[in-house]
Amino acid sequence: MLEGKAMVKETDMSTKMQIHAMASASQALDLYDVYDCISIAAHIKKEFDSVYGNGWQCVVGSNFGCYFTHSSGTFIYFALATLNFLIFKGTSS
Amino acid sequence: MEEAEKELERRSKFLNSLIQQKKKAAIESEHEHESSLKVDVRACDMPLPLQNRAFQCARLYLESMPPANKLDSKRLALALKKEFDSSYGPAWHCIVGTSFGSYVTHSVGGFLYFSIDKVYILLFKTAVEPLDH
Repeated sequence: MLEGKAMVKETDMSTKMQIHAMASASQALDLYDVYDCISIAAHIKKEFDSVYGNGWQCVVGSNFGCYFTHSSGTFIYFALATLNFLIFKGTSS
Repeated sequence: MEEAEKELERRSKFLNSLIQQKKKAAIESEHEHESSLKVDVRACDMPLPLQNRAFQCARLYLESMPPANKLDSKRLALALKKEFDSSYGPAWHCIVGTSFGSYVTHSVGGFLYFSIDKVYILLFKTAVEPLDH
């Protein structure tokens, strides 16, 4: 169940992948407390690693800024509930 | 006239004294500020020289900001990423903030999570794939 609507702030992902990202985040919020950012991030990253190949990175929180390099078409930054989510694929190894 | 010379000399000494006091206060202030920026390594897989480079870069950035200014997480993250990309090769990623969790895959020897002052910083490296084009 969505705890409020997700709002995409920035992305270069396909729409399908975006929807998957937000669904995964929503699922993680059902499983874990909003304070457990690490478990939420882990859930999403593992999902993306298994579906789209290794090398995904995920950051979840209420206060952060970051700078990173990502593969083309693999970046999304969105807000859901009280948290912000950043998912991207650093060039994988 | 001799009396005037003495007065000038006295004033000159007084001014020098003021200047010295001010310099001393500035130095003490710097030390105070520096000592308040304590670094606490929370997780690490990185050679010591690179760690020290990260600490130095973060410390310099935080010190360069007027105390009243709010932390600009993005700019600090950018500064660190650029420093490491140019010094140690791509691709580095940096996250800065006071409240976040993450789960990442990183290269061997390319991971550092530390706090400095009240800020948490995550810096890590991923391997670069050759372009297929």
